[in-house]
Amino acid sequence: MRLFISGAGTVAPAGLGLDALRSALDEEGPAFVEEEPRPGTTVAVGRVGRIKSKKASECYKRWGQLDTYSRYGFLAAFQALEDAGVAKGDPALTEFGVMLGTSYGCMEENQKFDRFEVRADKVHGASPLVFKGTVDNAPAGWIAVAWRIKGPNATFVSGDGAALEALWSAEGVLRSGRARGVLVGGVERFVDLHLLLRRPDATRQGTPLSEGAGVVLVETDTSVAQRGGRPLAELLGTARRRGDLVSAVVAALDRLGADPADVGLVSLATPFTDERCAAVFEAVPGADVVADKEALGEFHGAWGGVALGAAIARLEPAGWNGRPLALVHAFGEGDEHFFALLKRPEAGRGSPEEA
Amino acid sequence: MAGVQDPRPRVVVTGIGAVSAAGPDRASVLRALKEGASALGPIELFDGGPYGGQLAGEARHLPRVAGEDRALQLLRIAGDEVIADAGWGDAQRGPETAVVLGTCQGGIENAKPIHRDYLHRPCPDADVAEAAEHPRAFAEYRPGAGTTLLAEQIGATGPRSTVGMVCVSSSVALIHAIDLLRRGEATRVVAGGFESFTQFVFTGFHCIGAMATGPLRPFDERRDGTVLGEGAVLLALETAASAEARGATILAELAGGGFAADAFHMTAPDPKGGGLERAIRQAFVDAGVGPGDIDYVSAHGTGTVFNDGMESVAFERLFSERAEAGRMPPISGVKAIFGHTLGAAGALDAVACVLAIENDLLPPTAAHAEPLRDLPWDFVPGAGRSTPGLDVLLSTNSAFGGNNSALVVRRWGSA
Repeated sequence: MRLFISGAGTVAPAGLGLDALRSALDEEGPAFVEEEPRPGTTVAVGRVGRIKSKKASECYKRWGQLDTYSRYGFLAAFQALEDAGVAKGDPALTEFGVMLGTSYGCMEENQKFDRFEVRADKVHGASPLVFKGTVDNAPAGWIAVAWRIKGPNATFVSGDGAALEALWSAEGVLRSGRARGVLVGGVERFVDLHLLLRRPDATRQGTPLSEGAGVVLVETDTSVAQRGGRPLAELLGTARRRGDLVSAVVAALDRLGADPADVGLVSLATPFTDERCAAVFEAVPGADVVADKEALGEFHGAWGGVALGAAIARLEPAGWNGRPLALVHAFGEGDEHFFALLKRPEAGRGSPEEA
Repeated sequence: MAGVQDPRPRVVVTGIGAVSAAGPDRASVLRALKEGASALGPIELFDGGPYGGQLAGEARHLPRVAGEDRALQLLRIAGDEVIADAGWGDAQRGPETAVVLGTCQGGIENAKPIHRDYLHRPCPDADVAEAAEHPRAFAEYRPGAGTTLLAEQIGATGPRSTVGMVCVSSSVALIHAIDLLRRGEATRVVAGGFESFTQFVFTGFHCIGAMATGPLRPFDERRDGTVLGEGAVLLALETAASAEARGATILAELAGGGFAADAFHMTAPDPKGGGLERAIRQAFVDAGVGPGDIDYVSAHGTGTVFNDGMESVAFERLFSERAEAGRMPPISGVKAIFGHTLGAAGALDAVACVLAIENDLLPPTAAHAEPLRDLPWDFVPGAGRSTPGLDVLLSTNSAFGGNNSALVVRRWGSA
């Protein structure tokens, strides 16, 4: 069984969709703003800002009920389905699944709900509408409800590798025949609390915090062919490996049966200032080793989904350095690393026959 | 599947750690299942008066440890027990041991002051915030914090995963653990879930009108809501080859699992039970069993009108042939004893199945007297019932977001 990415969607400070990611990566640079969370401390952060997507609100009548965290995931999924040519009511949807990752999940809604108070023997300010957003699986739930996606539905809260862990799990779901397609990716909503959790200061702030979502539709070859879909890339496989970054990259390629000479892009979840990047250059000679977080920001649990979108965005106009494969990386918990290995279509966007 | 050799590694249970309202260990869970005695009582952790005096399944035996998040305290105790129960030692530490946990709001207890302090005023100096005001809360608030702490506690340096899916969190964690073992990413996994009873979550359930006015009465015509509990429930899982190689006692096999969405509503279940049925059918395929093989069902049984109604419709359809033949498998809901432990619920239900197999015991539905819709099914009312021959058991859960999960637990050696 072969698996294909047949649609992709992203929500990022740079804007909606792969074109916005491409612009941020190629030309316009970071879309960060300066904030002062405490007097005398200025940090760069990437905020999505107000979403003006008329399409999304028209697509779903309950859009107004969605919390911001859910909206990010919802919009990314919406784009991925639209990109794949899957419309609402498509019978294939009942056999699709939704599997997402996040690191901080519903923290913003937790904060909002926690404003309730007990006064004069009564509970005040406890909102049922807010409470239903205090679950980490809210985006996956809303997506399933809106599109009637009835297959496997899961949400991983496993830190920065959560989106690629969702992809790792989805690969198993697809290869075991439990679904014909899965919307996979990650979502993160930046809240001010993150600035505290991250202990920002002038010497330790690292990559700017960012927020948003990245979702791809991964389908089986049969599903893509039946629908007449046009693959963006083939998902050759996923791997999770422990140890230092370089040995994990080498082990992942070995596990996935890839010749390093075929790999044209290695997307690492660490900045170039990290000396480990140089070692990866040597381990995968001739590949472009990129650190897209520098331009896009630290998306935490959403990173894997955004990184997949960025890797696909990099197919145009230059391709993956003339080679067929791209390796996308995210840090897991402990010393674990997650990887996804992609293969570009033969020419441009793939044809149904290719599937 | 008959006659076809499944090439995947088989996954077995070799240990249990369980802290609940019934007590601090698996023995207390077994005792409660035998007696069918409810561990629910008046709220003690905060003033329940403004909420109408509802009940809760608090772990009243739990000593308070200043500064330690209650959910993480529960988890730590269960972590010690599961390792001892499985007989794991130094040889089981290291990269071949993984941790997969589910939780709904683990770590939220100590987040309250953070929420209150920092929502409406500028951030304090980072060092002050971390070192003085809330020394542990920051580190423990992240959903995956419990997984990290447990992994460090037991010396597991393999994969660490956390599932955040409300009431199916720990059952999906168990399914994810099966996946890790089958795909060769680990040799053994501590998997399960944890949740503390907090005013935050209680207030949420209260404001959506989901709380019972009295006892939790699963599948009872008089049911009017749920009662929240707390606990940490862990299972030591390993490949059968690993367990046999070290001569471990195998308690049961986790034969397979499935999960699926209702795609109906964010907080209300699909009244037709479509998502639950799909999850169960997936689990059957995964485990290589069918409806005719099931000897007992540990249902979600939250005691709410909608959940129990939905489940009964799904079971009615799934087991239709058996129902017509008068051979419906016994179905019970153990939440009447322990309360609804949310992120730990799926693991607790799975443990009920393991203990049922180990002790030839049908877990009961406490406080059950009037079957919903007058269904002529055996809901095992009252106390646990001695019943030999429990070989293939089904455990199901459902959750906000329209999530459903199912696990097949099988007597080792019966297949």
